Amino acid sequence: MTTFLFGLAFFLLLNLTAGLGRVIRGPVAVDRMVAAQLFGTTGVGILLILAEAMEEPALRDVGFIFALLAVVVSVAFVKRGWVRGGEGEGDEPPAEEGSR
Amino acid sequence: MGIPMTPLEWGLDATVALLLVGLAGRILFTRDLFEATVLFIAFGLTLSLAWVRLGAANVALAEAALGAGVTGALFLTAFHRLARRGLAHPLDRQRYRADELHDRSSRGRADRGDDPKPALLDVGILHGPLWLRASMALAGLAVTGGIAARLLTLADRPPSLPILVEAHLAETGVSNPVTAVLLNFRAYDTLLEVAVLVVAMIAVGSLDRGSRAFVRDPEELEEDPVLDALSRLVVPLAGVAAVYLVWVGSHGPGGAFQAGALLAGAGVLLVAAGLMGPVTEGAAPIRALAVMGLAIFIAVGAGSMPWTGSFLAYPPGTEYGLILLVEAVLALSIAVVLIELFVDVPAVPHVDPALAKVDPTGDPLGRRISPDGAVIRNPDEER
Repeated sequence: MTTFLFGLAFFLLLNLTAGLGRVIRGPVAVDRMVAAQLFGTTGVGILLILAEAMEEPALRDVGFIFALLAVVVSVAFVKRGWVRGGEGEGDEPPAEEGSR
Repeated sequence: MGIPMTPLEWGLDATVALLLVGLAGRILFTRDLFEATVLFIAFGLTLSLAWVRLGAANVALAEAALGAGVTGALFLTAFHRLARRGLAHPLDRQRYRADELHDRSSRGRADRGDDPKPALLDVGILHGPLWLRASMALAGLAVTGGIAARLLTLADRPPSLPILVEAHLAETGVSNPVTAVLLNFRAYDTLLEVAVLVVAMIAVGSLDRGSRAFVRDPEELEEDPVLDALSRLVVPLAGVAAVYLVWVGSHGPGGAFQAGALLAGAGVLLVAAGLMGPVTEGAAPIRALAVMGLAIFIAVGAGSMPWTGSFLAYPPGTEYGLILLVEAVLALSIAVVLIELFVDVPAVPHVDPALAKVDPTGDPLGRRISPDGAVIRNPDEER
């Protein structure tokens, strides 16, 4: 069972690494931000699995804090990092994205 | 971990380590400051996973609370400020530098975007002479090599400090060794750290008393039902979780810093949602809250001197209660200080009107840059 759990965590981590490509390639800010949010969700998954596999219940708390605060960065991005109404054509971020 | 690792665990740890180094390198060498900001948030998560794998759940928790909450928002805000001043985009930075020097001839060259530097390395050292850069690289390599060589030849001896802590844990009133070290064995360190936080807040607060970046602008504050409902859901949850973290800190991973950082994250949400106004403007209660942790800590430390004879030594039997009291008040103070550090930044001094309306996270002024640094399209030239 532990082997399976570690395998699952490893698989999720590889997923996360692949998702990094979107953060690096962009091209638009929203792409990077949403990829980073996905990073957070996958990370919480990894933490929950590791809590089970490593028999360390405190890791659930770590995952819980990440899940609770993931929204803060999204909100800061929408409110501060992202100025709506860009001039560059095709740079206009889709209106429905931005928060998780 | 005494148990031999399976190949899967080994792969997991190796991937985390590689990811950390790769992310750090990319953050330093990318030309896109926004990408660096987002990658830094991802870096925090990866770092947290690394702490988890090292068996340091306490540190992972602190990294989670700080990295996911305040730091990410702080970096995004810093990016926003740079963008508003025309400093976020590599091309803008070059033009800004040229303007600073009042060098109109080089400004024309900079506008064409020759030689954009990595965003975070866009500093003097890259323009230094070759011998200087080479000797700095050599010095860095020598230090790293020295540390690596020492680590590899280190005798395999178990560290003695954990044994010492373990032996005296029962006397501290708490069963979490990290809390025991932070608030009992080495309470002095923690006291001074809290003092540093308060001093940092005072320093930031005195930067510019004129205008504040986060003073609520009624025109800017449009009705935002989503944000409103969201913060009404998340903030109470964060409050409960913070109380839990302070309590759990006495016997497991948790504690004042983690709880404070979590509360600060909730505070950032309140500020962003406009539910919490400019708290700085002469708000004595806020300042009182910020120094309260330090004050209670000193009061407890000094107040128990008649019984124990030394500063910050708790009288036997009262350790648990006193530590919990200090931790609870510290958590509040740390939260207030962190929120103030986020809120109390002066307004952007100079905003380029041309940059006020463009999306700084994408391609400011609609320019595009190819991976090799050449400008593909520059509207300045089309004009």
